[in-house]
Amino acid sequence: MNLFWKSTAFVLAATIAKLTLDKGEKDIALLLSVFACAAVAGSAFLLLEPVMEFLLSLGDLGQIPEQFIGVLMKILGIGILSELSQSICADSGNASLGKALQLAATAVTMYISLPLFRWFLELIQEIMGQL
Amino acid sequence: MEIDLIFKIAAIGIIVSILNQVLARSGREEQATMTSLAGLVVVLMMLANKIAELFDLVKTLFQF
Repeated sequence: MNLFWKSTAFVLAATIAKLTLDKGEKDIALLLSVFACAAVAGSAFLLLEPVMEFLLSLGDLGQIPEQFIGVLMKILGIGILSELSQSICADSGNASLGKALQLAATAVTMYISLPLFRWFLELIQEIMGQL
Repeated sequence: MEIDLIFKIAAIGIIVSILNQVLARSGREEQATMTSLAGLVVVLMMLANKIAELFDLVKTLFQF
C-alpha cells in the first residue's frame, strides 16, 4: 500500500516537471514521462510477482501444463507493455506509431497463443472421438 | 522510486531550455540546436539503463 502512495506522489511530481519542461524542451519532457512510466510500471510489476507465483500454483492444482500458463503470462506482459508504449506514443503526438505497435502486439499475441489453440483443438477432437 | 532522477531530468531540461533561448536570441541557432541535442542525449543515456531494467523485469516476471 505504501508503494501506491509513493507512486502517486512520484507521478504527480513527474507531471509537474513535465508541464514545466513542455514549454521549452518537449523532447526532454517526453523522456521524463517515459522514465516516470517505466519507474511506476517497474514497481507495480514487483508487486505482481507473488500474484504470478499464485497463478503458477493454481495451474499446478488444475494440472494445467506449465507451458500454457507461461503463454498466458507472456500475453499479459505483452499487453501491459504495448498499452503503456501506445499511450506514450499517443501523448507525444504519434498516435499512428502507437497503432502500429498495437497491431504488432496483437500479431505476437496470436502467434504466441497458437499452442493453446492447438491444444484446445486436440482436446475437442479427443472428446469427439470418445463420443 | 528514484524521485531524484525526475528532478535531475527536470533540471537538465530547464538548463538546456535557458541555454537554448540565450543562444537563439544571440543569433547562434546552430549552437542552440546542438545544445538541445546534447541535453537530449544526456537524458537518454540516463534513462537507457532504467528502460533496460524494466524490460529485464518484465522478461523474468512474465517468463519470456
